[in-house]
Amino acid sequence: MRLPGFDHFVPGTIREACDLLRDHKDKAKVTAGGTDLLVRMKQKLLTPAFLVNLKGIPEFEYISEDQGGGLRIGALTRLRIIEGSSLIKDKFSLLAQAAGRVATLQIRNVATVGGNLCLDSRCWYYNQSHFWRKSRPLCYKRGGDLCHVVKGGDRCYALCQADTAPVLMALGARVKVMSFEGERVIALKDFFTGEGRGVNVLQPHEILTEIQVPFLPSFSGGVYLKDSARDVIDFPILGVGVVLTLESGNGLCGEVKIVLGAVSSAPIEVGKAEKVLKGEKLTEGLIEEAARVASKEVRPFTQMGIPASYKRRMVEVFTKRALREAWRLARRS
Amino acid sequence: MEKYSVIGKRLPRVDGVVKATGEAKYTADMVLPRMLYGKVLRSPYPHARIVHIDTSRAERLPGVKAVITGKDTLGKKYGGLPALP
Amino acid sequence: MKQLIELDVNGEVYELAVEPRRTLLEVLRENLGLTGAKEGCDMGECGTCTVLMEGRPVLSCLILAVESQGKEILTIEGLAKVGQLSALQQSFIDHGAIQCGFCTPGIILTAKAFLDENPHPGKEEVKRAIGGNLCRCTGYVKIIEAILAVAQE
Repeated sequence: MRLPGFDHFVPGTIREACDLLRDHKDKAKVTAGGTDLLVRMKQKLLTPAFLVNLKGIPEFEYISEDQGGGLRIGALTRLRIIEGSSLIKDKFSLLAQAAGRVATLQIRNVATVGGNLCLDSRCWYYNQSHFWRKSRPLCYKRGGDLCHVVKGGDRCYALCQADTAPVLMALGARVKVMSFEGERVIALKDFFTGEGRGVNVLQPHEILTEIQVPFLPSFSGGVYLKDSARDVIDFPILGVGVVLTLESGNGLCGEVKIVLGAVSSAPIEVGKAEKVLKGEKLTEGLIEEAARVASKEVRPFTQMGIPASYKRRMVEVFTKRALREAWRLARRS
Repeated sequence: MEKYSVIGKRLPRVDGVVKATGEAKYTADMVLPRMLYGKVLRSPYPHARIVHIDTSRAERLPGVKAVITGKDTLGKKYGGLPALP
Repeated sequence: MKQLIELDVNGEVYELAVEPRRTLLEVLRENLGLTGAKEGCDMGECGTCTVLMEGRPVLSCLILAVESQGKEILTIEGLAKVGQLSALQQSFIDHGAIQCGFCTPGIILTAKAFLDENPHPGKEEVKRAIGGNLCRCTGYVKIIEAILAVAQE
């Protein structure tokens, strides 16, 4: 498959990049690692006339400590760096885990954490070559008026399969977004739209530049677990990001965040399952109860070859395992 | 006791070196002077009746030397080799 | 519009005029005649196009030639020193880790980069490291043995 033609810009600063996006509007796309964008261009899912290559702006690769008590991670930081960073492994081991579960070594050497967070939603009927898609009517994600996955569906049900998304949401991260109009900071829970078409609130002229993650209190533990066909390479069938904090005096469960990835068009925080645990004394039985509630809280569809019933069952299994592990780490810390 | 040179011995494959060094040429690696490139156009429809195949526009494109369809191989059921006498 | 670029491949610098749409894989194979890197899936899912960029394994089918300037690129052709196979190459031959050989250049490069960073890995670490290189022939066992044999030294 050959790439379609395009003009290629390598801005030296983020300011230049923003101006290029302002000037070329819908005809321009940014590329960071390019490991997802180039595939979609080869499949002719998008054919931007201009590519704005952010690789020429290395100052957006950093992991630094924030005065306010947290980490600031440059969006262009490569996943391989996040995976191996001793600072991240120390403060947010689940983020290093999630980054390390993305795709393959070769892809992680090039792909960026910002790119993974902004990953477009995926579907077997969408992420195919132009030739494959030609024989089917246009679905919602392609600008048509039906969904091939959910018959009679009212919207696009493509899945958000970014591994770092549920983890960053469970960590309460925020993202900084820049454009020629200025900058804004968005909490991750407000970043995702829940819609398969247009997964996040980024406008075409905006660039995600930084991820801000507040430090966790003492007696916190977090983990990322992923169910996938193969141990390496595959997108998640299910991703579970759990962060759990024990109250310091009495060892009861304090704050807990359970966020599920790849069950929906956005990462889903299962609040009802969290409520089962908050303020309670943790036991194996309570964790199982929370996992059961989580599996009932989601509405998976049968898609991408995975039956909805299997997904629901795995939500229970993986949530249970993740809670156990997070609790173990919280007690140890 | 006879000494064998092959039986019971490790025999590294004869093309191991060229494969390990990248020298081995596979079909897609071959480049010959003035070679032509073929591309297969398949039906996008999994179960359909062929009513008509119009190759006229394709044949007129610059650089196209030939367009081959089923009518060019009518009656031939096997490979490309002519029947031996 | 073609761009004039300089690529540093296997220690040699090449001056080329290429369009931005050409991937590094296409340029290596078609402009430089270095056909060791293969086009398997052309979309980042098989690893046969793996080359080393600044010592790190990357997929050349998903990297543009124009963004590869100023970075040392190593292909399989650059691995063997004159007349002398690298330890990994020899180990693959000795362990019978090569059948059709299509995946071989990519896996050897990935393994080399991995061992350069982790000289003494365990079996599970090796498996995870080469997870991005698919092999349809061997079933991976001999490939892993060949890599571990080099790691042991």
